[in-house]
Amino acid sequence: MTTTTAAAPATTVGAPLLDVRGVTMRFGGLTAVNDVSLTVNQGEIVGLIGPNGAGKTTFFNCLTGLYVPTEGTVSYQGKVLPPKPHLVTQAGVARTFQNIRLFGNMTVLENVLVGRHTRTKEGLFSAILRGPGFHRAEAASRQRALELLEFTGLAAKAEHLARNLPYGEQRKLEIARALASDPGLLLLDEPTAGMNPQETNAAEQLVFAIRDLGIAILVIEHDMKFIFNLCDRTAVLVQGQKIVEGDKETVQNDERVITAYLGAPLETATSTDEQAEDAT
Amino acid sequence: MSTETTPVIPLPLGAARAVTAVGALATTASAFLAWTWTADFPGDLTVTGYPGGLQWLTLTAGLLTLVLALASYGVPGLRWTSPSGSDNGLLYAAFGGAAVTWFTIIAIAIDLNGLANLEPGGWIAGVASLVALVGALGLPVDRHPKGTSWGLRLAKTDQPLPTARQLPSTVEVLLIVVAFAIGLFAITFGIDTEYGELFTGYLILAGFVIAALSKSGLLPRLRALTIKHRPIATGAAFAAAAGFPFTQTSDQYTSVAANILIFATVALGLNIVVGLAGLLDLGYVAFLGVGAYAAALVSGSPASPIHVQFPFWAAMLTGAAASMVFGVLIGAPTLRLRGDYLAIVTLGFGEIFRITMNNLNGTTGPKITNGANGIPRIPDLEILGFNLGQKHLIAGVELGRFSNYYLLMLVVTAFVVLVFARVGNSRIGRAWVAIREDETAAEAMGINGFRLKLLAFALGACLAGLAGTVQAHVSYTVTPDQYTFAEALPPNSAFLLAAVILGGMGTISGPLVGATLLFLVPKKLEFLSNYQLLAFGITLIILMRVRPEGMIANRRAKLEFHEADIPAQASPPSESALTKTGA
Ligand SMILES: Nc1ncnc2c1ncn2[C@@H]1O[C@H](COP(=O)(O)OP(=O)(O)OP(=O)(O)O)[C@@H](O)[C@H]1O
Ligand SMILES: [Mg+2]
Repeated sequence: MTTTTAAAPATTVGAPLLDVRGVTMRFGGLTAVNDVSLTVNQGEIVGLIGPNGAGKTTFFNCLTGLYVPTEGTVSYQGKVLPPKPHLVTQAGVARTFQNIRLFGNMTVLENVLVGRHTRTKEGLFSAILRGPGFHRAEAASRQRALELLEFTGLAAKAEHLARNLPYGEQRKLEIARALASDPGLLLLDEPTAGMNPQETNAAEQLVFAIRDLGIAILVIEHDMKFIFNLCDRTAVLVQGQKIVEGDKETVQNDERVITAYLGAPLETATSTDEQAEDAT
Repeated sequence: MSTETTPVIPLPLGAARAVTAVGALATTASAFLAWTWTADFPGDLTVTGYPGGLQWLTLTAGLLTLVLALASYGVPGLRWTSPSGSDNGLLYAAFGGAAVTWFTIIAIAIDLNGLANLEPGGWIAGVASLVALVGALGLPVDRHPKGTSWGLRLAKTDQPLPTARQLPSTVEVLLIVVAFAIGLFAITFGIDTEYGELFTGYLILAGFVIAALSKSGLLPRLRALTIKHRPIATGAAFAAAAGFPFTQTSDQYTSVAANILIFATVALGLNIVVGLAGLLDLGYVAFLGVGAYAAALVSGSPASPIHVQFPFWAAMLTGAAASMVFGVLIGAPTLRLRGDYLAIVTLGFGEIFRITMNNLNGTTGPKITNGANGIPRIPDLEILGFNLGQKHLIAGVELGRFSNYYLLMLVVTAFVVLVFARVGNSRIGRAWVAIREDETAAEAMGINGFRLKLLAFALGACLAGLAGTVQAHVSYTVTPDQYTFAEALPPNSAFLLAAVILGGMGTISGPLVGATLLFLVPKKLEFLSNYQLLAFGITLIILMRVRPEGMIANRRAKLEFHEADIPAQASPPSESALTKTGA
């Protein structure tokens, strides 16, 4: 799958790709995300950590148009992203979901083909008439989808139903499906949640391989080892606010991070049953 | 998967087989006896030496049981009838024989007041069919282990069939053609049944025969063949359907068949909306109505306020376009809603259509539709000088008015099937299924949910409108009451939805089969009068209990509803905990 093993930071960190300015998200009285700014540069892997309920997923939802931020702007490659999920994907930002959201009753291959939607154009009439253009586009999509399945190691399961995949492979499929839209930036929401150490390791390799394709990555994780192995930079979100951002040492040694994770009473730290997106 | 192969009644294998075969033979023979003394029972079962009416059904079941029993013995030349090698098919066949025979006996007793009206032949048939059944119950059948479910429930697992002997292509094609010819014969028999008893018996037998043939492995084999030669199989299916009017001597049943086709085509259109895109539309029949009204208005009917007569192709386009516009108008504001809201709003719009058509009568509104009287005397179509209202001699067979319309409708059906098949298997179709599965995820994949849902809605409306243009001419008159949400006879929105769900969502043949049944059952069971809807409801419940995925399961639905039967793969660890923790 991939040969990159070193955790060396990418040497080709380029121009800012994603630029988030002062994003705030309020739900009634609750401020889930409070004035967060963040940039992700080309070729970078950026981590986003924080206790449960810190607002990480909500922040992702603000970036991808699932939520319309109360305040602030999100721009990608210098252009402000409209708060519509399909336009965000079209612009080149793809994502995965914390609670896996595959198309369970479609095959693995079909799931990835759906991911190609924005990069293909064949409409209704083309589908009915089935001219040579249609067949060419369909073959190209298939080809690309199979490549991605090969890349994520799911090629053998192409014809299985997504819902019948084991858990780890479902996570991989979510990534393959997101990659199908040829993104410049990939947002991963807890890609290793529920995985065993071997699977986590494989996921790590996969993330490096994706970065090597020239795709920048913003990843939410609770697994610190995973985050510090992977990320060039890590931002910490606590109660909706970004309290630190920096490399491994900066984050690990920060007082506030330590209290947030280990000591100070945070009532949100134990809440587990929020359902961020279902409210849309 | 845990199934065991044991008899239900413990009998030695040899004895069980012999009893089954003898019982089947006796059942077959008993069909030639007189079952009752009077011809008052429909079908005349008083003749010895020739089967009549319901006896034909017993004969069929007896023969099938006999053949499968001989195959179970391994008689050379008959083994092909049971490729699965399992005796489950035989058991179903024996069940079918007993069911249809005893149904007949009970029907005689009820119709003629008392079992005394049964001749010895009837008793022989009853006993023989039970003997065959007892024998079959003594055969080792695949079933769930004792204790997990009641003794008789047969296992649902379909073990992979042993690989078929390689046949030359031409033979395979010939087999397909023969199979479709048999299918045409069976369906024609069902449509032509003249009395409710025969139709009920036919339905009972058909259910068991289909179960028997699929367990014996014959239907799966046929399915594999049709998939291998898909274009030929599709062609054969349509050729068989086109052959129907040529089997008829009067227009009595071709009118039924033409209406079945209309209903089935509309159901297939609805399947795009419900089955593919997952949008619950409870007012779909209104689109059929829009198409029919549009065609009626431009048909040259003296009752139409617009005194024009469009050529047929133009009328069709008008109907389809009008329906599509109506679809977009309804869809644009409502498709932003999700789930139940959409169902409620479409239900409302369906009623609004009917009420509006009622009110455009000159007193409560502009005079366009003649209100409740509708637009009558819609002239017959003339296509390229061929008047569909008149009789024509084709291939030595006289085809009447309804035969002509049936054939025209078949072309429309073929077109809708083509659209469904092609669009369903394309970028657009995949996007629809994705929306059905998880709209949020679909949008995150770059799918413009609203636009695609609107597209599904508009396409569905357009196809229903197309069928409506033909319907207007078939039924001479369009009235608002033809397009209600629910009543005892199809087409109406509730029946359309039932046809899709019963038949099999997301499939092509499902709604066609479902619509055929839902049209025939109320039509043939008119003798039930007041209990019709009750019987209908009970049938629905039984069907949904036995086959939640619909009669024709789509590959996916099959996996979805019989999850337990699939070789289980590793299940996600602590999934419930994870799905709770937000997106
Ligand atoms: N749609 C919504 N309506 C109301 N409150 C919401 C909504 N979505 C999220 N919240 C709240 O915002 C807060 C942040 O939730 P979020 O899911 O973003 O946390 P998280 O950092 O992703 O946590 P975890 O690590 O458990 O995934 C929570 O208190 C949650 O209840
Ligand atoms: Mg989260």
